[in-house]
Amino acid sequence: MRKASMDGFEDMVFGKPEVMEDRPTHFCPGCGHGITQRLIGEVLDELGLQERAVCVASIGCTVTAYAYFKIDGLESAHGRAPAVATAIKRCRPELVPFTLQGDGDLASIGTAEIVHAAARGEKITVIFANNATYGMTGGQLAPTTLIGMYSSSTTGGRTVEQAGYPIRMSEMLATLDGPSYITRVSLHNPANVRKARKAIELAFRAQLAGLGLSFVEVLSMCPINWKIEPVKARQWMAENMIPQFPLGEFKCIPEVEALKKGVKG
Amino acid sequence: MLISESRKTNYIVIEKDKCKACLYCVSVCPREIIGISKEINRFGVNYAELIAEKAFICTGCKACAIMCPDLAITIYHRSSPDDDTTS
Repeated sequence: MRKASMDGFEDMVFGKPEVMEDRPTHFCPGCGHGITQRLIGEVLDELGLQERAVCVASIGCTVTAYAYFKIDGLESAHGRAPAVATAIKRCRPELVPFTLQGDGDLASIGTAEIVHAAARGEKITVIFANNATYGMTGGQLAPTTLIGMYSSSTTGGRTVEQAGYPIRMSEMLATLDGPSYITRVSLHNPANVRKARKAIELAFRAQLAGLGLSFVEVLSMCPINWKIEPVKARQWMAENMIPQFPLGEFKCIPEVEALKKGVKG
Repeated sequence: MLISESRKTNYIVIEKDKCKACLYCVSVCPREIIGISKEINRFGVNYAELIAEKAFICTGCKACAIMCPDLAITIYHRSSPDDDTTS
């Protein structure tokens, strides 16, 4: 966007994506969901999907996505977003449904839906925000909570005897044949946010190319429930979450590999 | 013409009523041009604001804006009339 100013021109080089509403978010200070949603907005702008994209939000902090995107949206029952998105894609193949799910939603109550949607290779995109806690309900133990990590239902820290081990969803789904693209990215510094944007764009491009389920796991900050101030939460995530949830691509079929050339930074 | 000789500058605008003072922008700015205000905004927090004396050294790297969870930062690039590049 260029406008004339007193002594030349002014170009907006970075700002709110067109597809997003101009309003303050309801998220807590430092929440990674705001970044995730902005990245999705940038990708929808880039690919020109405002008329075709359908956001299927599930229960959790992701649920208010309808308030920020100027696209069609649906609220699904807890954990059932992949099933709803499957229905949309099968009934109206020209639409581009994507689900926006948290770890309490996708990795706990919605495990059956995501595993079977992935096994069937549904042509949908899943954005999975993993912040290792149940953010909306007050920081209870999630399937992805780290060993020894405080949560409001394991106040002495998660123990293996009591609550078992954290689930790595990306690795688990990568063993299936249906998905076309599975990756894990992080939001702890600007370089990784840029990588996350590329991964989300590739996931949408995979769907547009008619390939199987594309899945992006985004490691996201939840400073309020981790009881850490936001800037330290970035550090904490880099030091503690990334060793447990290593970043990288876990599945990328050759057709998706070929699409990488079209993805701009 | 060298960039330093041209009148190209970058500047950022922080919308104070969207800022929730997570201070990610303050922590990632390589030139440390973003500080914390003394006043509070509608969220009741001391929001992030541009330090006026340092504003001209902004390189337009976008690190603050891409880390901002609240879409509060917009970056502009100013160029002189005889310069026709839009980059």
